[in-house]
Amino acid sequence: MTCSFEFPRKYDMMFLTAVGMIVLGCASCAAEPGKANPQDGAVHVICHGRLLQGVVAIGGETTGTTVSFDGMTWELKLSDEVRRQIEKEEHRQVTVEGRLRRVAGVAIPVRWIVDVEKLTKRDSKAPKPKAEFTFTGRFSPVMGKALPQSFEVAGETWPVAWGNETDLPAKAMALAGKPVIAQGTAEANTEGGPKKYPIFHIRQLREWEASASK
Amino acid sequence: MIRRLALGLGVVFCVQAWCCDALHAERFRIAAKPSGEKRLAPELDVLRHCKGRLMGFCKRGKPIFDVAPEQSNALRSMALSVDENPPQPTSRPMRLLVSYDQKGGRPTAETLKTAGLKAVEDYQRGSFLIVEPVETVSSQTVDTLMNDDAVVYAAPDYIMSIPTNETVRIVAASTDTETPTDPLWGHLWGMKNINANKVWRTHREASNVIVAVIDTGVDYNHPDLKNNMWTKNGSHGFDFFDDDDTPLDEQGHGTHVAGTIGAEGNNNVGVVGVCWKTQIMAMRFLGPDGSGSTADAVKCIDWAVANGAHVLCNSWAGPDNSRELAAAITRAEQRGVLFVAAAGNTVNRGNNNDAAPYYPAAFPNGNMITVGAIDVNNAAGTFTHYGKISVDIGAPGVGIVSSMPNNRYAELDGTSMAAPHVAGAAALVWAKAYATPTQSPEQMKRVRDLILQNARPLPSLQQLWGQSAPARVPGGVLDLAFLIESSGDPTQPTQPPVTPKFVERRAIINPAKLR
Repeated sequence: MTCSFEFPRKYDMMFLTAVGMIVLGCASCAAEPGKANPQDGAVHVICHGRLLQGVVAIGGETTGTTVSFDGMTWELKLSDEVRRQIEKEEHRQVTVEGRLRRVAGVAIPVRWIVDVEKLTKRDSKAPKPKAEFTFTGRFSPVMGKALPQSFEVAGETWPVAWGNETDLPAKAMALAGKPVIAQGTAEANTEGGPKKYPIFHIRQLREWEASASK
Repeated sequence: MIRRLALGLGVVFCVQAWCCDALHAERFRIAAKPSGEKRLAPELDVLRHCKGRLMGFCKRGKPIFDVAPEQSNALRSMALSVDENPPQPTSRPMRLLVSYDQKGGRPTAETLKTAGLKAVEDYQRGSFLIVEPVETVSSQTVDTLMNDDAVVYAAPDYIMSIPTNETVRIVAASTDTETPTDPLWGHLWGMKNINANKVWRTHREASNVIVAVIDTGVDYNHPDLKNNMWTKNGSHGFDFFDDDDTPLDEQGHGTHVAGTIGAEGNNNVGVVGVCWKTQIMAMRFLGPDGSGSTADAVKCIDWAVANGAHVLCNSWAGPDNSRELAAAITRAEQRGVLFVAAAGNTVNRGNNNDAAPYYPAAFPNGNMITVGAIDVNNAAGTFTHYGKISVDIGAPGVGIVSSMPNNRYAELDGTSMAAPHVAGAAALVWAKAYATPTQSPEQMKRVRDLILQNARPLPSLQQLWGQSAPARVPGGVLDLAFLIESSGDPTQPTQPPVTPKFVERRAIINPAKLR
C-alpha cells in the first residue's frame, strides 16, 4: 500500500523551492491568523478548558486527546513537540490555540478537530474567558434573509450569529462576498448536540485588505 | 394515402402515450433502505418523503409504490434496489400496525379518520392497533400518523401481505434454517459472505457462550436482542460511563454491534445475528458522542472477564498506547478470554496500523483477533485500517444492516461492523468445539486458530493483513464454511496446527516454516 516515484533531477531545485514557499506561507498564516489569506480560509480558535488524554472512540475515530469547555468537546491534533510537553506535565486546565476543522468520520459523522499551535497550562482558579475565534473568509448572504447567516471558509460554510450587535449585520451585508476577518466568541449549540456547529457570535468585523495593509 | 394515415395514427398514439405518462404516476417495486425515522418502517419512511401511494406488496414481499414522476429520483435515493414496471400487488388487503405508548394513550379517532384508516383491532397486549386503509396508504396517511404523539411506531402488517404460498415457503425455510424468517434477511450480505447461513443448518446456537459487547451499551429491550441478553441479578452488564448497572445504549453503535453478533434468529423480527442464540453482555463506557476513556475501557474488560465472558467484542480504538489497557488484555489472555478488536476507520484512505498504530487493535497479545473491513465485492473498505502484522483477518463491514435502539434498524459502515461478525463466529465455533465452553487459554487458542486458519484467502487483500502469527492466511477473510458438517469433524482445522512459538505473539512469519 505504499507508492513512490522518482522526481526528475532537473526539477529538484524548483520542487524544493516550491515546497519551501508553501511551508513558509503556511507558517506565516498559522502564526498570524489576522493576516491569513481569506482565499485559503481558516477558523482560528483560542479556548480554555479541561484537557483529557487517552480518549478512545468507536471505530478508533479520535485523535486521543480532547479539550472540553462550556458544553463543547473538541479533539486536539498535537504536534510531537506539544505531545512531549504535556506528557511531562500533568495538565488539567489548559489554553489551546489552533485551527478548527470539521471532519466527517465513518462511525462518528462529524468530528471537531483543532490542529494545535500552542497549548499552555492555565490556573484553574482564574476566571475562564469564553472561547474566541477568528474567521478569515467571506460572508455568504442567504437570499431573502435580512442578515448574513453564514460565513464561507475555504469552501465550507459556517453558520454565524449576531447577538445584540446592531451595526455589524449591516456592515457584513456591505462586505458580502469580499474577503473579511471576523472575530468573536464560540458557544455551544445546546439544541443541536455534538454534531452541530457551535454558535459563532461575531463581535468585530473588518475588511481583510484594509487590515492586511495596516 | 394509407402510409400517411398510418403515420398520422402513429403520431396520435405517441402523443397519447406521452400525455398518459406525463399525467400518471410511475410505479416501482423497491427494497427500502432501513428507515431514518425511528417511528416508521422503511416502506412508510419512503412514502413519507416521496409523496405517493403504497399500492401493496408483490408476491416476493417487496412494496409497490405509485409516485409522481418528479418524485422518482427521491424514491431511488431511499431504495436499496428499484424495479420499474413491477407486477400487480397481491390482492390481499394491506393493513398497518400502529404501535402506541400505553401511558400516552391511543391514536385518536380523528387521526385515523384523517389518515384514511379504519381500526380493525386493538391488540392491547401488544399495545398496537391493526388498521386498514379505506383506499390506499398515501404520504398523507403517514404524515397524519406521525403528527399524533401517541403513535410510537407504524409499519405495514408484513405477514398479512405475504401470499399463502410464500408463507409456506418461509415456514419450510425455517426448518431448513438457511433462510431465516427475519424480514431484513435479504439485506444481510455479510452473513452469506461468511457462509453463516450454510452453517446454520446444523450449528446456529451458542447459548452457553457469553459475548461481551464493550461499547456504547446495548438496547437490551430491543425485540431482536432481549431474549439473547446475558442476565445476572436482573442486570445485563455494567455501565462504567455512568457508573451504574443499566448499560442502556444512548448512541446506537453498541446495539448495532450486538445485533450482528446475536440478534435472535428466525423470530420474524428484523435481522439475524451470526448466533441465533447466545448471551450478550452489555458493557458501556462510550458516551452518547461515541467516545470514552481508556480507564473505563479497562474497567469494562476486567468486569466482563470476572463475570464469565468468553469473547470480548471491541469496536473502538484510539492512538494512545496505554500500559493499563495492555495489562487488562493480558489479564484476559491469562484467563483464556478472546479479545476481538476493530482495526479502525479513517475516511477514504484507511491507515497502516503497523506504521501508525491504533490500540487496542495493534497490541500483540495472543488472545487478539484484529479485524479489517471488506465490502460486498470482497474488496477492502475504503476506510479500513490495515497492517500486515497488526491486522489478522477481514470481515464484512460495509453496508451492514443491524439493530438500533428503540426497535429500529440501520445500515452502517466500519470495522466496528466487521469485528462483531468475527466475535459472533467465535461464539459459534466455541459452542461447537466445546460442550462446556469455559474461560481457558487452551479453549480460547483453539477457537482463535480455527477462525484464523480457516479464513478464505483473497489475493487482492494479501498486502493488507494476515501475514503474521497468529494469523495464518495472508489476505484472509472470515469464513465459517469449515463448520459445515458434511466435511468430517468440523472443529478440526483444515491446516496443520500452528507451532506454538510462533503463535503467541505477533511477528512476521515464514509460512513454509510452519508446515
